[in-house]
Amino acid sequence: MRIFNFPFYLLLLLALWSASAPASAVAQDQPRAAVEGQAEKLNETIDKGRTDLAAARSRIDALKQQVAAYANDDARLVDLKAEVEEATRTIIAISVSLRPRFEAIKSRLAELGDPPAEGQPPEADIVTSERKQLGAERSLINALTGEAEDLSISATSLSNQITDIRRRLFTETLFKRSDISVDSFNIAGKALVAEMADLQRAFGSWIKFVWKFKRLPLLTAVLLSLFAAMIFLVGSYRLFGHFTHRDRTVVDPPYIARLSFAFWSTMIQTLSLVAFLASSFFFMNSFNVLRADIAPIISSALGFTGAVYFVGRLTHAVFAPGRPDWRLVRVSNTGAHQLDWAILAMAFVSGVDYVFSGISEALGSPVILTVMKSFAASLVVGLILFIISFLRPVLAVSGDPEERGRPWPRLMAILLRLTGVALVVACVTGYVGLARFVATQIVLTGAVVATMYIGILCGKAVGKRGAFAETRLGVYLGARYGLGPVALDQIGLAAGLGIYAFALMTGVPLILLSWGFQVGDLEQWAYRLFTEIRIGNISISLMSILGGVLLFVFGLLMTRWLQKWIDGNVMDRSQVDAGVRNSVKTGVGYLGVAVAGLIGISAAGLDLSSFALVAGALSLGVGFGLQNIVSNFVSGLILLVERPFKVGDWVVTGTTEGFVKRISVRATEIETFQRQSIMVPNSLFINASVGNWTHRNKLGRADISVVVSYDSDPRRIMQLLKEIAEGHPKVLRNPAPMAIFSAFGEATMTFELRAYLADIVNGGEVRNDLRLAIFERFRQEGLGMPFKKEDGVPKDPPEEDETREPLPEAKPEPRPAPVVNAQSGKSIG
Amino acid sequence: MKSVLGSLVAFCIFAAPAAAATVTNKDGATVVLTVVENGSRMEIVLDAGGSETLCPTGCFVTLPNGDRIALDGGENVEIQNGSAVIK
Repeated sequence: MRIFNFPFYLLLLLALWSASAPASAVAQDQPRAAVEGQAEKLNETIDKGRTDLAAARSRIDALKQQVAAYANDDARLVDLKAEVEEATRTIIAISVSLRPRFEAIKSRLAELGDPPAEGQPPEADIVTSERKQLGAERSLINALTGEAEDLSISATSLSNQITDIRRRLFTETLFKRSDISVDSFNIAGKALVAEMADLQRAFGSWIKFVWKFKRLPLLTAVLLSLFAAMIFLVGSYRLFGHFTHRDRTVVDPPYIARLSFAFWSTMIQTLSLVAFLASSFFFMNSFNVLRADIAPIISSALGFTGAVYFVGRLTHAVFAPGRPDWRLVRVSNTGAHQLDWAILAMAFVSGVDYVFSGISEALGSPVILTVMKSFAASLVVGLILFIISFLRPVLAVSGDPEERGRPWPRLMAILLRLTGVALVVACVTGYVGLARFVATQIVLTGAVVATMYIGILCGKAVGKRGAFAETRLGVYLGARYGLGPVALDQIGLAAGLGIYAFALMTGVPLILLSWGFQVGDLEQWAYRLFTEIRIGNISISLMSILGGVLLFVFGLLMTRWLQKWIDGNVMDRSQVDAGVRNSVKTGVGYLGVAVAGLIGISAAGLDLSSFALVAGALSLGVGFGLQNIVSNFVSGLILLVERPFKVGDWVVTGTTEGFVKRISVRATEIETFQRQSIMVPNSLFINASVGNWTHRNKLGRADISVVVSYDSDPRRIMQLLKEIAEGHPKVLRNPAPMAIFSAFGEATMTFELRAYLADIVNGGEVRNDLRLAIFERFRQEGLGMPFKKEDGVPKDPPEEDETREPLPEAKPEPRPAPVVNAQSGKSIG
Repeated sequence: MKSVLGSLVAFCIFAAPAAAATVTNKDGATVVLTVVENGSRMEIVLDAGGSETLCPTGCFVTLPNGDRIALDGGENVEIQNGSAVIK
């Protein structure tokens, strides 16, 4: 286009030159007359320039609107771009038309010389005024040229914008056919040469300028970014260093070691490089080293380096061409080398295509160039795929990697061949956009999916039962913190899940991004996922639910703290009864949980009023099914308030007897004398009578019945019994122990010794002592044998094992019958 | 395909860069010109006596003395005392 129009501009230039040249000649010869005549002429030229410029501006404004209106019409955009370029050239032509005048003014000013300095004789007024006028016109022209300059910038950016739109149409519209012909190759070739020259000039001038004037910022930026990368590299090596090198001493490393090596070495080294590249771009940008037209080129080159390095690293880790025992896939040595190279080549070609499109974008090259570059890149990728399909990479049957491998499985070979052929065909038939997309995705998505898959396999291997304890980290943790196999296994499970999450959370967004989703979209999705999930009319917000849960946990912790504080400080010091302490503590606990729950629910954004409906439904359920649970709960509350017993009390209810261990919401835990724990529903304590041996005090009566034959003197017996009881240190003097002649048997008299103890819990021990003492004393006194052995069993034997005792008793253990209340249970009966 | 490649090669060989303007620095010191070309503003460094070829498609140049000139390619510009002399 430029070439065709060139003669026209030459003509225009010549015309302008010839129009202005005589005037300047006149001006030099006849200064005075010329100034007069020229002033008008000059003004005329400037006025014309100004009106032309205004016209060009309104034309460009109109074009801008048209571009916005036809943003989806490729053909129309081509025309518009031509018009914009025409307008740009017009703007330059307008400015060039001012130049002869400008030259004339300059040379006239040079002729007039500098104004006389202080002390020199003054010059003629006419000279002064002419200089003044010329100076004013000079700055007027400068200002006009400046305006033209700005306008040309906006025109060129409009033109680049059109190219961008068209390029986007090309890359985003997959099924758009581009014209592929000899002619288009020619045009693209010319454009390529022009682009390379442009690139060389732009880059050369930038480098030269930066090196001359911004050397320090450039070096600082590079140094700083190297520093950042070093920090990252050293940090990650210290953390995961043992994952990133192959242990040469290990002959046949386990699969998990190979996997983690592949995953971590790829991740750490790529991320370090990315840290370096990103920080160098960031620092160069913030130190103003980059120029607006250079920055996108640099950024695409950096992106290219990072992506190709990543793919190279990954394929090298997976195929391990030099180390067959570290290989993750079952391929032969030759196959590993070939695949390694082939994949790297595909990545390189796709990357070069990416860099070239970045350059084209930055330099505003024609779209056809992008199309042709993508054409070439997709063609190469297609051919590589086609060639790969004929390789023989699969490990030989013998399993020896040195041997010549087998060909691909049939399906795989066909798939590869078809994809390769399809890419080439798509290119040749003009569906370059589609071919480019597919070629790029094969490389990029393939690489990301492969890494993700390795990560997931790695997580699976780490999470396997007992696998983590065998890893070096597991061994280290076990030795350092003294963790047992169970703890290590749990850590392994958590680590496995963590690796899953990491692999998915980095991989999925990367794939989505490479499919053309924007970062903004992803952010919005993530934001919506966390803040608002709509299901019908209900909207759930993960964020507020999380907040609610956190508040609830916080409330719970606060409650625990409050409980501890009240229990340990306030009540302990005020010498409150243990039962009250327990009740208050439990009550505060219930209250705290309820309040924390309410706060949590409100913070989670659940409308409490909507619970009214649920509560209504629930109350019906309570009426039927939940009746027992609710009744137990309410009973528990009543137990807390009424306190018929406290923890540690010796209670009897129904058939259950023992010490109270814990009073909880639904049931009370009672430990029997045989150490059996029994959960007694709270409602039982409320609805039935409960005996408590230790309610107000621990005072209690121990009864021992003694059966004696009629040979003995009852008064003597009673006296002896009383003496024996009084002689025991744990028997209270007041109320005094008493002996009672309680019954006449057929051949025996029954006596009862009733002794009061300060602590009924000691009852068993005391009774035992008393019985022993009675036995020994009776034998000593010659009293005894209530009945002869041949008399048979007594009338009412208490327990079988005690029937043959010389002095059997009615009850071996204090087992008072359930009494109406604890108090009467202990009264003197 | 052959003809396509042929024409490409031929083009690469014969394609001369479009007529560009040449700027020469006749001053004794390094000068920095601000050039607006293709919509982007760049600084061009010219050492004393150095020469540079720029803007094949036309451009605006701001000279060290503050003057602005427009070039449409093909000019020979000399910088003297911070001012441009176009030939």
